[in-house]
Amino acid sequence: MSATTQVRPKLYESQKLALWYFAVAIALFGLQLTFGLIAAYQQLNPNFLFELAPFMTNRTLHVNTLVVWLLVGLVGGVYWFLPQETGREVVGIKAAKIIWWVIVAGVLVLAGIYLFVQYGPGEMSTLWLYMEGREYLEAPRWVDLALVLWVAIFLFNVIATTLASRRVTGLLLVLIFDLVALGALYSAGMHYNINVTMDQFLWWWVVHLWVEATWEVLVGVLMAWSLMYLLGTPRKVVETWLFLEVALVFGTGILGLGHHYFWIGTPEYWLGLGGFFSALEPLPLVAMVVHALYDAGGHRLLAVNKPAVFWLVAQAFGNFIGAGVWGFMQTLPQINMYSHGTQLAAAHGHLAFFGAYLSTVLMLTYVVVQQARPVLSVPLDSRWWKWAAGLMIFGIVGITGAFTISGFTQTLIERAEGGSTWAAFIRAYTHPWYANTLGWRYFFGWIMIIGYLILVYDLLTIGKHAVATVKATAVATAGGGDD
Amino acid sequence: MIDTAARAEMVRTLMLLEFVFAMLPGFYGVFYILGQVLHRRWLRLLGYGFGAAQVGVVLLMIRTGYLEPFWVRVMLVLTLAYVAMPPALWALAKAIHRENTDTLQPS
Repeated sequence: MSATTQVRPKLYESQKLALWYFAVAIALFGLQLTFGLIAAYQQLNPNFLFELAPFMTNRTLHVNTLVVWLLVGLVGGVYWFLPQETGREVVGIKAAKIIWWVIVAGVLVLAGIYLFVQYGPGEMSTLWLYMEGREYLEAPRWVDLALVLWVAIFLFNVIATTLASRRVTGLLLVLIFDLVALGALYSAGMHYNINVTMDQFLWWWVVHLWVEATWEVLVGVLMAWSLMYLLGTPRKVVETWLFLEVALVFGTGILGLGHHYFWIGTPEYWLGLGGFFSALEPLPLVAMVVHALYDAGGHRLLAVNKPAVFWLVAQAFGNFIGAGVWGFMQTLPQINMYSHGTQLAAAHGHLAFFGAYLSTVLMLTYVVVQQARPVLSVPLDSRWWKWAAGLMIFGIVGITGAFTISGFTQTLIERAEGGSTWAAFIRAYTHPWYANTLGWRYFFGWIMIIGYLILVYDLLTIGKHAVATVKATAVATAGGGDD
Repeated sequence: MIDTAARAEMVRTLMLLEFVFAMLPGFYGVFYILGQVLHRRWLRLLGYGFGAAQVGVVLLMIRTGYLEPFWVRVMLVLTLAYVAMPPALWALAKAIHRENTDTLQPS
C-alpha cells in the first residue's frame, strides 16, 4: 500500500469527548501497571511501603484501575464510532460531558480513599462512603451509583442518537441491548447479603457475567466497526458474525457462570451444568479467531492502520488463549476443586484481560490517533508500536507463565497432596517453583512498564511525520521556503 | 478414598491433558483457516493433524479412568463440537462473504 495523506474531516463533539476518554484510559493504564509492579515487589519485600500502601491496597488499586481504564476505553470507542455510524452528532452530548467529568473526579477521590483511608469501621457508613470490602467490588456505594448513572446516560446517548438518525442498524441494536445488560448486571453487585452463599451468588453476576459477557459483546460491536473501517469488511458480514458471536457468548457464557458456583454452597447440579457450559465457552473465541484470520489474512494484513490491525488479530488470539485455554485448563470440577483460588486464576485473569480487552482498547486507540491528527496518514505505521507490542506481549506471557507455575505448585502441593493444611500452605509457598516465580513476575512487570512507555511515546508521535510533510509542502508551494 | 499422592497424580494428569485439549482446537482452527486462506494444502493437513490429536487426547483422558461416565459423555460431545467448528465456520464465512458481494474472496 503506497503512503498517502489527506486532511481529516471535522471531528464531532462526541469524538472530541472520546479523545478525553482515551487520554484518561492510557494514563490509568500506566497507573495500573505501576500499582501492579509495586504489588509484585511487595511479594519479594513485604515491608516495602507497608505503613503507607500495603500489598492489599496496591492489589485493589491494580485491579480497580484495570477495570476502569478498560471500560473507559470501550465506552470511548463507542463515542468515537457512534456519530460515524449514525451520521450525526450524539444526542445529549452535554450530559455525556458532565457525567464524564463527574466520573473522572470520582475515580480520583476513590483512589485517594483507597490510598489514604483504606478502611472504615464495621458500619453501613463504611460501605456507602469508603469501601465495600468485597474482593473486586471494593468501590463504595456512591461510586456504584455514579457508575450506573454513567451507563444510563451513555445508553440514553446511544438510543436517542439512533432514533434521531432514523438509522437502526444491527450493530446499534446489539449495542443498545448490551448496554441495558451492562447497567443492570452491575447493579447485581449492590445486593449485599450476610449469607455468604447468597452474597457470592450475585457477586459472580458482576465478576463473570458483567465482565465476561456484556463486555465481550461490547467488544464484538467495536470490533465490527473497526473491521469495517480498517479492512473494509461489508456491514452484512460483520453483523452476521456479531449475531453468531453474541449467540455463542451468551449461549455458553450465561450457564458457564456455573463454574464459579461449584464450591460456594449452591446445589450440586451446578457441577454438571457449569462444567459442561464452561467447557463450551471457548467456542465463540475459536469463531473470533476464524473471523479475524479470514478477514485480516485475506488482506495479507494490508490495511490503513497497521498497529490497529495487529492489535485486532492479537485480540482474537489473546482472547482465545487467555480466556479459552487458561480458563478451560481449570474449569472441570475434578480439577477446579483443587485449583480454584490459586494463582492459576491470576494467570487466567492476566492473560484473558490482556487478550480480550487491552488489545481491543489499544486497537481503538490507534484508530482514534490516526483519525484525530489534522492530517490522516495512510497507512499508519512506525517502528515503535512494534517494540511496544512486542515488549508488552513478552511481559504478559512472562507474568502469566510465572503465575501458572506458582498456581500449579499450589494446586498440587498445597491442595491435592497436602489437603490445604497450614503445613501444606507453608510447604507450597516455600517451594522453589513458587518462591522463584515471585522474582520473575517482578522482572516481567518491568518489561511491561518499558513497553508501556514506548507505547505512550508512539501514540504521541505516530503519524505526525505526515502532518509535518504536508505543512512543509504547503509552505514550499506558497513560496515560503528557505531556499 | 484415594490417597494424597494418587490425588495429586490425578490432578496433574487431568490438568495437563485439559490444557492440551483446550489448545488443540485453536491450532486446528488457525492452521485449517490459514491453509484455506493461503491455498496451502500442507497447512490444512497440519490443521487436521491437530484436530486428530485433540481426539487422541480425549481418548487418553477417558483411558485414565479418572472421569465418571457423565464427564466422559461431556468430553465426547465437546470434542465433536470442536472438531466440527473450523470447517463449519469456514463454510459460513465463505457463504456470508459471497452473499454480500465482497470483493475479498480468499478461496
